Amino acid sequence: MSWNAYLKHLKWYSLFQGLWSEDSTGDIPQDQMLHQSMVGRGMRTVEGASYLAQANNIYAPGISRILRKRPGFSVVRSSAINASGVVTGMVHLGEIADEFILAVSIAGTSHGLYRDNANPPGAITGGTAFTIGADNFVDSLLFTDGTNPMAIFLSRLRNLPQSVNASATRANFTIAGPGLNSLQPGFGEIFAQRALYGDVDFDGTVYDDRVYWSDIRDGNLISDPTTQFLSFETRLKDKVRAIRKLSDICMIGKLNNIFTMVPTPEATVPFMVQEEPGGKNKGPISQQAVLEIDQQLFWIGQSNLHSLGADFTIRDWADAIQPTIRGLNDSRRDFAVAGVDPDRSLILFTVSDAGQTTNSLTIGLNVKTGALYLWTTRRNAYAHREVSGQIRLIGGGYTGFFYNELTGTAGDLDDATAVIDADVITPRYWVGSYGVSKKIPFVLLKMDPIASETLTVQWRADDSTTWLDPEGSPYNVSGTDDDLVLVPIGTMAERIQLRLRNNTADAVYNCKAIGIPGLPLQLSIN
Amino acid sequence: MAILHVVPANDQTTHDLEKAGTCACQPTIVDEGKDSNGWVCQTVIHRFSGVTEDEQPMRVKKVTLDAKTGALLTVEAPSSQQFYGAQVRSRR
Repeated sequence: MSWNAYLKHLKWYSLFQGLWSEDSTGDIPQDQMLHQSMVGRGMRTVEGASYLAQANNIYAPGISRILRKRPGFSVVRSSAINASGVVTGMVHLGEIADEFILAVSIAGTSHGLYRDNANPPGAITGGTAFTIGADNFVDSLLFTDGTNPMAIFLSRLRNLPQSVNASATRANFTIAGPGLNSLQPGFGEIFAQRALYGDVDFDGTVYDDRVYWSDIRDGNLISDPTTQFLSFETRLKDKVRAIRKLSDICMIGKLNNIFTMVPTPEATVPFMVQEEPGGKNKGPISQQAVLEIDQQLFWIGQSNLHSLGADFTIRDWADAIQPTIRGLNDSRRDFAVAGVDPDRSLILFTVSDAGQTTNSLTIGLNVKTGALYLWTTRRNAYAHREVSGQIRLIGGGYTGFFYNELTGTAGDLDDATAVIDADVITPRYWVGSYGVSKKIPFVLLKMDPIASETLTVQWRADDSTTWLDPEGSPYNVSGTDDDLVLVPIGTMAERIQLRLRNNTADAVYNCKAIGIPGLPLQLSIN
Repeated sequence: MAILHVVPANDQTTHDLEKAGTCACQPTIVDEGKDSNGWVCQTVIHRFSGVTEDEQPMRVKKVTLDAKTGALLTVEAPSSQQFYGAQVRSRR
């Protein structure tokens, strides 16, 4: 057989659309792509597109659709705050002061605030400690007490709020007013020049359906606690789980209900409420896993990832991996956290997979392409930090370290030195037609070398569950911007599936396209 | 640091800020711990009594006194009654 015949039937796949776990590996869409439509997500034909049966520790930044090993992470401080220190919240004080404050819970010891001005960061004295617990997330708001700007810290277990001012002085932050001695919210938001407080303890009585608002530009004063709140009772009793603003819309989220509050011109009734068309499980489950990016709010719900736009439309983003989300640890969904990297258009939702007692699985969502990836990183908090004008995503772990995210070539789970195992499994490619046996002498991998790296390739054909090692694997990839790796296969098969893997220290790979020559031989109907 | 009084601005009672414990409204005193100089900090929440004198919604002012000398530091009259936003966004 001449080369021409193979090249004529060479099929290239170059648009890798992330993970698809909704179907078995034999039925993952090829040459098709999901797109948003008015009736859920429809499909359209896109030549050379394919979803992936496994997309571990890879990504494609922005509008790119290549296969690339994910970046690593590095420690901000080389010494741990405490080997048992779990980061429960973080905030940079922005224009108030160049201070980065961490909330850290140490089992059996303390749950306090730490100031990152030393290695390791030291505890800030004063105030009242939060209840110890890795799941007692600490939410932070940059606001004011009416006079001085400061960071306000609220804890999930409704402890007494704390403040840290521009001098990094910590104090109790008593939210009070006539008839209110101390409001202790679980979380909050700054909206329309007021602090909004949700899921509150009102002088010892818990109102988890309510959202209170402070006076204008005065976070610890509620002049009239009898009127400065809204209550969001629903038939399916659930608490308010998240408050996040999107421009001049503020979302109030419960498990099955999504409300929006908008400011009004009325002085005595500053907000107007409406409920958005949602449905079962559409609401947010964790305040720490709701983000504003790309003109939308994104959050993880009970069974999907969702967004809310300024047109009040709710969209689903993780239809392709619903079995993956169903499989998460049900008892720990409430404790999902999220961070965002606007440069790469990536949102990282870090959750607990089945059997996990820590957030050790990160679902990466590219908000430009909708592609989804799974990363093995372990985080309990995310925040942004400004360093000399550079905005960095910081992740907080479970062992007293916090990390500069998306940098370097190493880092796995909660260890900045661990090797990244970038492991991709393609669909079972039909290569052109169903039910036809093809002669597949080789597979081509179009690579973009980063430096000099190795790439382990395996393959299996038709219904086989056994991976085979092609001759020469692992392959060395080198060059400037282009290298073509020829993987000898030599089989007759209806379908072929590939596995690309690199778990070598400091090596990064970029696969731009996969070429498979499928010379049709005969029908293989059985 | 300071003693913070959250005190009604338009009720019908005179409130005693210097000796909070003897104020006729029997305010709630929240101990906020000590500041870096060792002075005790408190939040004193006075009670609103009766109807407002001007028949307007309740207004509150925040008065801070020096924790050591009792000198008046600041008086703020925050308002919950300002409005924000001119046009209500609606569904498209």
